[in-house]
This record gives sequence, structure tokens and C-alpha cells, in this order.
Amino acid sequence: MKRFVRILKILLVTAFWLFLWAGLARLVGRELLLPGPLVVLKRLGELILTADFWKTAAVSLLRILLGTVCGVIAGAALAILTARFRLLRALLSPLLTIVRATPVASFILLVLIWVGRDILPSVIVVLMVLPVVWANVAAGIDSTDPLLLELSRVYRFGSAKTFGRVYLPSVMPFFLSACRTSLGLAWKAGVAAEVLTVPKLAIGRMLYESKLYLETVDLFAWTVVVILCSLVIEKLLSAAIDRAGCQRKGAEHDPR
Amino acid sequence: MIHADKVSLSYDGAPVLEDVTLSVPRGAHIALMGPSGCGKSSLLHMIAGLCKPTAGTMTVSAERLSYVFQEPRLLPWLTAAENVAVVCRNKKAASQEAEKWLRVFELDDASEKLPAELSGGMQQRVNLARALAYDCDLLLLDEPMKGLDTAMKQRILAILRDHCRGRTLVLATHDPAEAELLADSIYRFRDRTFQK
Repeated sequence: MKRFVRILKILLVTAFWLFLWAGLARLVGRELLLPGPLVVLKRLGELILTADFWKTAAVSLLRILLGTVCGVIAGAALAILTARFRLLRALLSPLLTIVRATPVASFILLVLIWVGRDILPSVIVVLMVLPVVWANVAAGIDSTDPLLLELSRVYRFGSAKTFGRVYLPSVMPFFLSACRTSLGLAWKAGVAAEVLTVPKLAIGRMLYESKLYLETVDLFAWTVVVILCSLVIEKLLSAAIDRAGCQRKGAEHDPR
Repeated sequence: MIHADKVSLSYDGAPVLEDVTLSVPRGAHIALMGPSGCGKSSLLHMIAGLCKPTAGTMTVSAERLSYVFQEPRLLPWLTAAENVAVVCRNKKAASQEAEKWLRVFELDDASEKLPAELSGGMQQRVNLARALAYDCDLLLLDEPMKGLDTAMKQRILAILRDHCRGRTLVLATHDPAEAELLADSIYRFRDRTFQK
């Protein structure tokens, strides 16, 4: 019953926004400025029947996922290293602040000078994901209960056991929260990079060309694709996390 | 086993302990008595090597020490049984050993529960079970009966007395009855130091 109410609620909210969108599109009355939801859905239906659509979506997806995975690994590694070596933390902290404060467009244009346009979106995603994961994992390490660390010293857990039994469960909620945030960021930054650099096969390129040729319906349809991909990946990640049983009810911190 | 020579400790310049000198031979049972906050736990911390004296020397020649902390310090993501098993040295027999000690402390039904699902008294009993499950030659007990009812206290005191035979014991408590029952000699807190 609870599940039914929840689904009904989602359907009602979705219907409300679709009706509002349709109403606004009707009010504007020009497809070029604001196409209605039905036209966009119809175009989306046409697009998904083509092989190029799947090729484009898959390549974009791979690019962004590659960047996300690299960013997550690098961010976590840097967090561990800077927690272990204070000097490294002092040295790298300004870098973290600079990366977080720099607009993504500046990065895109700068990195375009150094790397090819096909790899650039992945590099931008790394730059967006890395500081989020780094900061979150470092916060998780810092917030590890010192009393539990004393316990591990008394009972001679050793490095591996202390990492697995004390640090890892303490940091995991911070890490997972960072992964969730990163995925959203990765999509936005990755597609933005594709729009600005126009690589061969890319959702960003389709968005750019739609805008260039004033194909507003296509622009909306591809935007829907970006939103759907982001939602599906986030749901898959959540399901994987739940399945792995990473979020045990006893975990103390959940910064979400 | 333990030799403290004119040991002093201060936090942020404020003296906590001054010139503590005590000697605990192997197998001896001593109690540190004094009001809350007098420095009993700090002295146990120094014995365990968790903090260093600001002056004097502390020598501990134990091979393995076990510590019943004042607060249970259970790993919140592990069940009661896992919290006990995690300190067992024999990995293969760890879960059996944990179950055995949980039974001793009348926690058979709580073995699969997480610390958050246990009452304060039950958490303290898991803390005790964990300390006793760890094969040690020096046992440090810091207010081990905290949060336990009178009947349970009596049963646990008997278990501890039995377990400590042949082991060195340092007990920090403000309860004279506990000290009388478990210790051979009592050190009382006077003028920022402990005297026999």
C-alpha cells in the first residue's frame, strides 16, 4: 500500500509538471521557442530507433563514466595520502580550493589547449569529481572516532585490520555520498565539455548542433536523454550500494 | 610487570597527576581508588601506552594487554558477536570464542544485534566479554561495573575474579567493595598522586 501511494505521488507530480509544460508551450505557441512534451516525446521515439542515437549515447556515457571512475579513484587516493602525510595536505590544500573555485568553462577552454577533444570531457569530469571525493573522504577520515582508533591500538589490530574494521566503515557513508554527488556533477560537466569541444560522437555535439540549426525539439529530446541517463545511473548505483550492504544501520555518520 | 617512576601528567599545562610511583609485580592485582576525574583513567591510559607521561618513566613489560574502557567503545557497524570476535587471536575459532564469552555474560540473545540496539548495560557487558576474550597477561579495568545492576555486578565480579587468576590486574574504581573483592592492594588518590 505504501509503495502504491509512493508511485501514485510520483505519477501525480510528473503529470502536474507535464501539464504545466504543455500549457506553457501552448501559450507560447511556437515550437521553435518552446516545444510541447508530446512533440519532444515523439522526436525522442524517432531518435531511439536509430543506431546513431545508441552509438552517441554509449560513447558519451563511456566518456563520462571513465572520467568519474578515474576521479573517484584519484580523489580517494589523495584523501588517504593527505590524511597520512600532513605536509602533503598543506601542499595540496590550495590546489583543492583552486580547482573547486574555478568555473568549469575555464577548465574546458584551458584543457582544450593541452588534450584532444575526444578525451577532454573525461578530463573535465575527473577535475569536477576529484575535489568532491577528496574533500568527502578526507572529512570521513578526520571524523573517524579517535576512541575506536585507541581500541585498535590496544588490541593490536595492525594497519590492514584498522583500515578494514575502523576507517573503512567510518569513511564509507562519506564516500558513497560523494559518489552520488559526483555522478550528477559528472553528467553536467561532461555534457558541457562536449558542447564546447564538439567531439565526434557525443550527446553534447547533438545539443550543440540542435542549437546551431534551431532544432529546439531535438535540443529538448537530447536534454531528456541526459536526464534519463543520469537518473538510471544514479538508481543503478543506489541499488548496487544497497545490495552490497554497505549502509549498515549501525553506521554512525551519514552526511547526506 | 608495571613500573611507574615519578610519573606526572598534565593536559594543556594543567597538572593531572604528579610524581606517581608504583610497582606492580607480575600476577598482582591492584586497585586505583579516588573520586571521578582524579586521573585514574589517565594512569590506565599511560599503562596502555595510549598517552605518554609529561615527566617520569612508565615501564610496562606485558606481552598482551586487554582493556575494559569506561565507555564501551564498540564498533557500531559490527554485531555484538563480531565486536567480541574481532579481538580474538585465533581467527578460525573467533566466532565460537565470541559466542562462549557472550554466553558467560548472559548475552546469548544479543549476539546478532548491533550496539545501537543494545542497552547501556548490555553494551558494557559486550565490552567486558571482548576484554576477556582477548588472551592477555595484563588486564586493565576502568570502572568495569558502570551501568550494571547489583545482581549482575555480583555475577560479573565473580567471573572477573576467576579470570584474573595468574594475570596482572589494574582496576580503576570508586567503589571500595569492588576494590576489596578484586585487588590485593589498593592505591588511593591523594594530592595528585596515588599512594598505597
